[in-house]
Amino acid sequence: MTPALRRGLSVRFLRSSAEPMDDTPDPLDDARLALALVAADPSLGGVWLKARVGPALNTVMDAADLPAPVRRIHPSITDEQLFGGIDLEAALATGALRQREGVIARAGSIILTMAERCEAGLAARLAGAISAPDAPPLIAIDEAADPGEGPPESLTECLAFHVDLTGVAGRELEPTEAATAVATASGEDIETLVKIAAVLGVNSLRAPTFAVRAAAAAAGLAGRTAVAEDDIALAVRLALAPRATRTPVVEEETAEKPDTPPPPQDQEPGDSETAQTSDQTADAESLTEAEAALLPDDLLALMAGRRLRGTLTGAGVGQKQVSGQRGRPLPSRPGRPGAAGRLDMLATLRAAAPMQRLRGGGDGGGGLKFRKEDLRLRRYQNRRERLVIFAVDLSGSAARARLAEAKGAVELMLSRAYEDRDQIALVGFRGKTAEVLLPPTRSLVMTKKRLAEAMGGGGTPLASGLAAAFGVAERAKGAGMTPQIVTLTDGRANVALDGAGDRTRAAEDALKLARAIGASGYGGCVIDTGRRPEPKLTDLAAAMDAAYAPLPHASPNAVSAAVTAALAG
Amino acid sequence: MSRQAFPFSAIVGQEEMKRALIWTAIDPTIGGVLIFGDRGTGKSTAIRALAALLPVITAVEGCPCNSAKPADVPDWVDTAGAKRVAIPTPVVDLPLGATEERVVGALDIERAMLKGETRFQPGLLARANRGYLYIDEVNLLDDHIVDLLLDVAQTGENVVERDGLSLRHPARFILVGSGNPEEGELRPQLLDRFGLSVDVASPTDIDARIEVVKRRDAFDRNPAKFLKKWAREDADLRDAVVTAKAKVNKVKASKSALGDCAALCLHLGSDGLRGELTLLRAARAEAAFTGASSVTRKHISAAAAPALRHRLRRDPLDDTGAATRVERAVSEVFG
Repeated sequence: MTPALRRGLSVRFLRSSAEPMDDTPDPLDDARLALALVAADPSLGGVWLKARVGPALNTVMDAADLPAPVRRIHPSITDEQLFGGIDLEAALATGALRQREGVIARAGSIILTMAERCEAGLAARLAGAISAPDAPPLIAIDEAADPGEGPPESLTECLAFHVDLTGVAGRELEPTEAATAVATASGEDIETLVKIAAVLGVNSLRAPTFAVRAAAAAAGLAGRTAVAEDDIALAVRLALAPRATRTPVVEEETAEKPDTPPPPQDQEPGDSETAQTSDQTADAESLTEAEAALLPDDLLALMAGRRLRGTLTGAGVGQKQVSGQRGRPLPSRPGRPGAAGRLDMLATLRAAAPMQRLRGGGDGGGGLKFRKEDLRLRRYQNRRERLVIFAVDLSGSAARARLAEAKGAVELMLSRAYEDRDQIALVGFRGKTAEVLLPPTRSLVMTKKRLAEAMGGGGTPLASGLAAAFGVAERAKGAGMTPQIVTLTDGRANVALDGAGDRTRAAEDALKLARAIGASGYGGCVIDTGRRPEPKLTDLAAAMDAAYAPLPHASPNAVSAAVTAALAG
Repeated sequence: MSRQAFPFSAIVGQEEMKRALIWTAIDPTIGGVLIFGDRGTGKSTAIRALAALLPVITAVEGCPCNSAKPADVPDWVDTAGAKRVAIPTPVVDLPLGATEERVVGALDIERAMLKGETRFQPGLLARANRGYLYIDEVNLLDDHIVDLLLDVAQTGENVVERDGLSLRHPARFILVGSGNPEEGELRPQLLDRFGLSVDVASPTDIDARIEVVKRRDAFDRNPAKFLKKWAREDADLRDAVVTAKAKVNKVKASKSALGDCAALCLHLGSDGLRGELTLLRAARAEAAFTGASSVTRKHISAAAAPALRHRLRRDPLDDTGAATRVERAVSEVFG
């Protein structure tokens, strides 16, 4: 390891703000600096600011001196507003074409509020726009409540700095001075930053590129012409540490600090938890290979029966959604054409026709006269995408019994879901808590990988598992999908929702959550993976309004067929 | 967009991706490249660099479809002149969430409303004619746009039957898609439509990574100086592509080379004959690029992974690396 690298890795570079140390970096100060840096060098893209509306956010935004004019945009902004286009209203009123510039062309800097609602298309276009030279910097204010929410990665990847203001109190902030010098990073600085990025497991090369520019901008702000150690520290803290996928292990530092250093503050909570739990309990766990699960043929009939009773939603049958793009046509509605809808020419003509005499159009000469209110938009009804959430019991009891078979069953179901182009999410529960192993995705490879990696062992926090699955379902519904939950468990719940080892309360909590799931209509099916069918699970399935199926030893395809029958039809 | 592109020859590593893109420039019938890899691996940089590297084409001035001759200009075009001008090879971005109108083209609403004329406003497919159509995050593209692209890519012609319009125009383009496989898979139908497929990853070698960031930083700080530094190498590469393009059709493929292609595809159980064709064309482009006069096993081996890895009969539950399977097959067949 080079001295530069060792210097780069000293703990002060990576320290989390939660640590009680005298010169702890203050998130508010970091946010202020991040904004000052992008104001000084807009090629840094911008800042991903995780903050709810409140005093902390206000103080930071007030102290910031962003390039004017500052424009606020919202995820529902249309492409025409963003990138410019023809001013249709002005064109109709004056009879001449009026081009209108978009927000991106006019703004000195852009603030994207409610960035967590930003959809993939807008994120990709924004990312492209801000990556262009001389583009305004973008401050994405992410008000996400859950770790699973947030702006798409395609956007955050192009924002140099990630700052989390969650739970930070507001206070007075000194306004940042403008840059007094122009600094460039030396070859050695670049080497240091790239090496630190590698040690932190930051795969993308865009991040170290940002860090290099950030260090140079920070030096400029401080009035230096060369990058100093402090500038590198700041660049690492703001641009690299939040993207870290692993906590670096540095011999010298571990000797100083007996405890494992906490992961950088902005790290994905899911990732750090996985790493920690698997480290602590690796011994007690058994990594079981997935093997084909077997179910009797009569399960088909059982589930088909459930379906006939109307408790299950049909396959690929997501809830209906009105869309401006595709699906079954619905009657047209007045509105403005844009990203949200296409103009229905015929209906527009029809709306304008009766008014022609009054307006002096039509046969009177001069062509038809249209007004804004004549415009009609096409509407379609669209089936929503379905999300199948697998909640898998990874507890010790389940692992001893049938975990391998349960995994086999999930894999078979996955291939069906793949064929139906459903999305898939994975929730695993064991020990004291449940964990979203995989947020909704269409990637079969990822699902398989995560499932294979899932370790067995510990108690059965069935309630937590259902709660996690419910949370994923709620978010998916908010994102326009139709979620269904498939639970695989042996039903021997022995950990309550708060992590206490209490069988009675564990069962009560699980039943409560099952009712909540049932009430929301997310129930798919419950598969009993125990050695013997567990009677309590029948009640649970009934509360969830889901089909119940024990997983006995039988033919491999029956499982997937059964689930397909239950979810599909 | 007038932004200056990063020089193609200054891209560190990523040989397979660069080679695949060069092959499509040498022989456009190879039919597109799919680039899969994580973010920040230089996918977009490579495409933009390619646009700057490619030689200019001659097109009729003012023709929205970049027609080569005045006779090729579609009859609905009223803006085309008689003059022919040199334009850069078009590389058109298809943004995620683009509407069908923008892709296919649609009724020019403004002219319809203001002048009462039925005029066609060409879309991205027209602009991409004789060039490249680049789709970033292709795996997140809406299904109905994908269907549409498949249809046009196959026929080379965009037929518009909508909004009271009925017209057609040529749309022969090389589809380049990039995406991150962890965010979703591509439908097999679209997968097959890409001639070549490459996987890219960030270099794991620390010195290579440092070189990438250094070059990028130098480019961002002073693009003009950086471009000047690499102009010579880009020009050499451009000349090599032009030379190879001129003689690619003269490269001989012997019976045994054809047999090798067929044997390889059979061994891998790739569906259809598209695999053999693409493999042969890519191998021929490689031969032309390296200055060889006939296709040898060396060229076929180089082209095997990009041409075949996405065509293996897929078992959704088997995720053995496709590249590994191709390599294994190459060594088994060629001994």
